[in-house]
Amino acid sequence: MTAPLLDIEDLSVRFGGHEAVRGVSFSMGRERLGIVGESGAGKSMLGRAIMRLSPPGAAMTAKRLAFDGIDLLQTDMRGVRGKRIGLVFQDPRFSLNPAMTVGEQIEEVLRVHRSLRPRAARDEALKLIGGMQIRDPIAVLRRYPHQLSGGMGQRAMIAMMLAPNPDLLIADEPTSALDASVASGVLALLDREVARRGMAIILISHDLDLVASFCDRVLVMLAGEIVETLAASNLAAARHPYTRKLLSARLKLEA
Amino acid sequence: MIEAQAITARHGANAVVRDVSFAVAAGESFGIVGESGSGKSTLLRVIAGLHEHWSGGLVIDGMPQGRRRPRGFGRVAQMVFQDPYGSLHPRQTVDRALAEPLIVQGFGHDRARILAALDAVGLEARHRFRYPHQLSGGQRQRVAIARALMLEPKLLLLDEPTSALDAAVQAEIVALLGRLRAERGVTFILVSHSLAVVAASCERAAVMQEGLFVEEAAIADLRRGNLRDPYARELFAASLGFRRG
Repeated sequence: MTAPLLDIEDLSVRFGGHEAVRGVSFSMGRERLGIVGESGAGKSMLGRAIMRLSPPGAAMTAKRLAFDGIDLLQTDMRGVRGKRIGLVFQDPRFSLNPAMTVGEQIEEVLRVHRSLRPRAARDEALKLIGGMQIRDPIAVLRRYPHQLSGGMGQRAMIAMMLAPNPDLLIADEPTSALDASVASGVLALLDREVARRGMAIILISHDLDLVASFCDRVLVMLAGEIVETLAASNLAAARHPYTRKLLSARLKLEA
Repeated sequence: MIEAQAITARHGANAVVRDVSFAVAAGESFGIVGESGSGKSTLLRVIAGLHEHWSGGLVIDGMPQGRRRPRGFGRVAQMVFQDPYGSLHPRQTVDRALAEPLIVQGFGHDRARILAALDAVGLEARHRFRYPHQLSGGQRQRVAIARALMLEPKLLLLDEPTSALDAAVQAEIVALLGRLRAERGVTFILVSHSLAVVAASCERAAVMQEGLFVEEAAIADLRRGNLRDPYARELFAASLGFRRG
């Protein structure tokens, strides 16, 4: 058996007396892993903790946090964060730099993480954004984040995160701020890129249906803990009362 | 209960609701579904009297409406907004929020009615003196619904009432609204971007796009995707969730 891509043992995140993530352990290969839970369950904190991006005032501890054989507890994260692990947030308008055009931001990533020269970075940025199913990629590269629609911003964000060819993408509610017709396009795009690049993805969402339809395996989080791990193809096997509640609470469009 | 004739509403020079006509019978639950910018919230605000720049005919509960709503309109129609954190006064307790409509309409601060209202939305007496920030999102929305029902209106205008909530809480609020409607016979107009929420709460719905009603359908047809308008069909397909391939 090959070593897992990501291996986590007993990870906790504390804010003073409050434990936002409590003794979480799991490992994953190059697969699609979903993390589902409601607001405050600790799923976003867990996603950030993997990137060693816990907010000020938070203390992260773990027995083991390893990525592709690298001990993330010992490294300064340079060469990993943003390069081998990418992070996509819910609202690109807050996570993109408002003072730089989309093109400048993607080119910066390419220069820093892939050591491309300015000319090559420009060509590559156009290629990347061109692959995001955008009507006029050249115009989008020249725009500032506030000039983009939600769906366009998220496509730009994804292009930027994929620029260094990461092995793992952590997507935290990537489509929750988008309209259904836009969200389905962004998900299809993510799906295609993950498959094409053979990379792993952690999809974090409060939406069980979304996570189950996109992922192979689903972790259910409640109050900072993983209470259940399920095969996405067999949600009916859920035993934990909280998962059962989530399952029964689904509003289904189809009768 | 409500008859809208050729309603057009503008933001500046922009017509965001265009020539929309519909009627909702007393006790019926009518859904308006559409995406950001479709004009659905503006249409609801026209009905509530919160948006003045509109033309067309609007009759609510037998009374033709102009720019301003008449005195006592609060007893005819009430509105529930998407984000109860924004619609509840942060420095007023639940008690105060629920008493306000009673005081404004001259009923005074009636303790028994407040307790009954809390009970009706599944909250308890112990929630009465809490502030909005001491409640969960679902509890806050329950308070907003209780407040909207204080004056026993005939018509409830619901603007994305569950969109700020987690999936499980969303289902609870949808169930609560369904129960309240069954008990009280209130007429609903529910605006949402979610076909699933509208399907779970309404009997009939209109699909709105760029200010127009592009389709009106019974919920059974909506659930089956039995729609003729191309945009309505696209919205239906996207609402089925992510499908590979």
